Amino acid sequence: MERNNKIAAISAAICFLEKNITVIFFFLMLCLLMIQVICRYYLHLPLAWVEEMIRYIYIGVGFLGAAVAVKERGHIEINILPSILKGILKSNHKVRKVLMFTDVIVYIIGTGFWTYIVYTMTHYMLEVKAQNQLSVAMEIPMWIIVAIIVISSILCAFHYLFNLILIFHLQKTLDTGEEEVLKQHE
Amino acid sequence: MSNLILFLTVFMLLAFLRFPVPFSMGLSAIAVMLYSGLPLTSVAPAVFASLDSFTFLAIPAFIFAGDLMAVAGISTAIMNFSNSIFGRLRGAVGAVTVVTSLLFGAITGSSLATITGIGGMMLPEMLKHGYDRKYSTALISACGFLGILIPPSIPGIIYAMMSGTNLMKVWLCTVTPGIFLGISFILINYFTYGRKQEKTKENFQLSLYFGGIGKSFKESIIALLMPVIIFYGIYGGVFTPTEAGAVAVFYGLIIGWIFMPLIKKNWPEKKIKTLVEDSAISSASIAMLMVFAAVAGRMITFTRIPEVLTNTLLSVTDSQFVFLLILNVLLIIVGMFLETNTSILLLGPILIPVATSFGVDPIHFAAIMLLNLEIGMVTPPFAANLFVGCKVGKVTLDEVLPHMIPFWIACLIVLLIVTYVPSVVLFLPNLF
Amino acid sequence: GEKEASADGQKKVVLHVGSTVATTHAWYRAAEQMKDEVYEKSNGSIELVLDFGGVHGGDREITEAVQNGTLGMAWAADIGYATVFPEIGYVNLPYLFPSQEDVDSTYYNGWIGESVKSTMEKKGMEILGFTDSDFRYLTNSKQPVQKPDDLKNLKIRTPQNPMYVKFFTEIGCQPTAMNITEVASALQQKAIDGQDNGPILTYTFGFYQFQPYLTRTNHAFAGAALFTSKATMDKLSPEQQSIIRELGAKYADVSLKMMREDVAVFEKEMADNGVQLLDSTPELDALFKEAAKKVWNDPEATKNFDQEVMKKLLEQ
Ligand code: NA
Ligand code: NA
Repeated sequence: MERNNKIAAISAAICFLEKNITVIFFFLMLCLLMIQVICRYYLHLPLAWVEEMIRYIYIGVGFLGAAVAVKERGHIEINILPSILKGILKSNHKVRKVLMFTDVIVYIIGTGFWTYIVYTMTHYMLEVKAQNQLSVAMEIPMWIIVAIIVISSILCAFHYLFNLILIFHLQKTLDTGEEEVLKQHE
Repeated sequence: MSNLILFLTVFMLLAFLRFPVPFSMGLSAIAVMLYSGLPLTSVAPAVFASLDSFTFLAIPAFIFAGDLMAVAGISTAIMNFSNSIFGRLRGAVGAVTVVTSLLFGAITGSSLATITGIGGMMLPEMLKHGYDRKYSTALISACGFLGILIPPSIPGIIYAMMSGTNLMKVWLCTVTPGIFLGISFILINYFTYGRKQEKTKENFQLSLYFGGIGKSFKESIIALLMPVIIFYGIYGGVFTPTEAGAVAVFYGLIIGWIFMPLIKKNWPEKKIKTLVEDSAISSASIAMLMVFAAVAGRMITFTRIPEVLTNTLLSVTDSQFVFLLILNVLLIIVGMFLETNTSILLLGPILIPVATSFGVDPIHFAAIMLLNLEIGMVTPPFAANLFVGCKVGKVTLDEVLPHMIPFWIACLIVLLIVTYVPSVVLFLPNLF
Repeated sequence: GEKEASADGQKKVVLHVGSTVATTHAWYRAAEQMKDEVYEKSNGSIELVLDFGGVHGGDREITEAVQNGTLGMAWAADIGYATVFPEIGYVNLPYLFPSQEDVDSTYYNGWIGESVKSTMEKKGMEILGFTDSDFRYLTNSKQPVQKPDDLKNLKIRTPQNPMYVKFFTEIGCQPTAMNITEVASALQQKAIDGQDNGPILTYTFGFYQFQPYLTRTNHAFAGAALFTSKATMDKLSPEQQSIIRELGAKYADVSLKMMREDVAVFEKEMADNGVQLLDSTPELDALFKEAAKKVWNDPEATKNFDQEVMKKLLEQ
């Protein structure tokens, strides 16, 4: 029990960090977009590096935010299973049991899937690094941008694993999506 | 064909278990690559390159802009303005709901923001005027997607990029269907509610009427300026859609957090940080769709699924008429389960070349596809708009469904017109 | 069915051929003919699948895919595959080849081509044949470009190549690097004002629809190649290898001839569609040559190139 609480705390702390970095990246991206507009229409400055930077920050927002969404189950899901189960099983208790079981499967698949992405992206990162590819405008090594994806993928895999451990600890599903459906039918 | 079946089976199974849609797409693509002996070396470059694109940047900006507008009171101002125009007619509140949703959705490009924003505002008005709660919820939910058919819209951007067609033409091709649907929803509202209402006792005075419009226009001018800036900016070629998104964000911030509090003593209800957080996470979940749709795209190219699918569909029929019918059935089914952007990313690369080989204009096809998928937002089992509508209206899904029937029929009729009378669709894009 | 056997017992292979260009481009037309002859000569044991139009991403992605064997071969401009192999970037130095004769004698059939081939070989690549990409002209949507002032603050798309970014900054433009597959939508959305491809790419990519003004600046030349990799060749039998080598060389040359004929055809087609085609002016040439000189002599701009070749070029 003690250890599980620790795991919950670690996962929440990581998520908190990710979320704040994502928020900063997102806001920075919007500010740079605005700077781009101003520079282009009023100052007529060549700002190829701003555009490049926006694109790379967007990659950061996308992948880091994805890790947060894994933790919070904020990804796009098709949530028809609870209604169907409700139709078949009638009892909310049984529905929750089955959903817990399917969620365990989902978290196992998720952990495996992101572990594979970590593996293949790391491999790719090393390849890009060996080729010495540089970004055109800012001349930053391209492997650093791939590294952002690698780190985010590690976090995604971790969150799936954390969720898996938590579900055994709490003995219930972690999202609230199905509660809406179950309440509606009560 | 076995590749396609394996891909769809694994995908549907994973998605059904509530594994996130984008990851289901990626995993099923990888499964097919393994099954057909393709090397997995194309996965990582696709993951990396998919987001490195300047056009996709419009998406996060518009998501954030939509949320900002609802919070900053811009949606209320737009409602007051349309009420001053249509307020006298019988069934007016319902008609105003339709028009406001259309305008609001047109700018934000988000059905869910439209339903929460307009629904929260219009539902009390409708109840006050004697409308039934269940019917009102149905109307609000049905109107959610109307604005997506009016540019600018994210599904349009995705389709244009996927097919390599002109963005402005894609945006314009759904305008006529959108207006048709808006008019038919107003008619449905008139025949179900408006007819029963008594005529207004006040005599019509032209000066009073336009005076009212003028007054509300003056009060909402700051808010109404926002769509003007965006529309003029994009159509006039002043800025790109991405930049328009950024401008909209900053305009919303200035109005909501500087102008409204200072002049109108009206503070927004939500903190900026919460808003940024929500928009950043939604942008990320949409970004993942694009990432793994790119992975699936590589798999689809290597396994030559479009070729196989074309041949299969061609063997069923070589008539464009029958093909379009099959296509509509297919898209409605997909739309029942999948969200619009996902469907375009997933089906675009497969269906666009097939449609072209049947002699369907890609712009005409855009209208068919976008309309079908938007209609899917209000058809169960996966009907995001209805779920959110029920939440706003505080009613259950099965209570709303009977009231949806007239709206579904209207959708079906407009869909058939769009499918078989291409000139209706192509008229506007061809002006450019 | 990659593992089926063909009529004479050869192992059947399917090779995907990638390229960013459209199906109206000469490369595609040549590739279609090549596909048929390869199938015939190999008794159906080699099937080429043509994935054009950038379905595998931009030149960088396509070149990487050929290198690791995901794609069987690719047609790409040297300026494109140089993003993966920056050592050969010298081939795109401004004014390196003043005429088509220079291209043929010193590049495709000369010492520059040889050094490109040997660099590529060290990276596990094999060039089957050289062909043209395009002249580098300048097109834009703002105004006819005839004097240095007309260039001021034009936002120009350049290939993903720092040398070009520098070159265009020197002549007063605002350069933005992006994949060629994104240029059409960027032009249509007015994210950029212009780009620097010649008649072939400007026409086949449809850029001319948004670019009413073209100036034949000819500030550089982009060659191209049909290439494969060791990874792919190792999957083939010796007979299959020699078929690919023989027909690769043949059809690279076929496409070269087609393209040189296309130049006039596409220029006329663009003129008929309202594009104003202008020759460069001495004033403009002087500005471009001045900028070129700076690029040639800037060690920072050429630092990633093969330094031996660079030294030899500077001596000439
Ligand atoms: Na819209
Ligand atoms: Na649906």
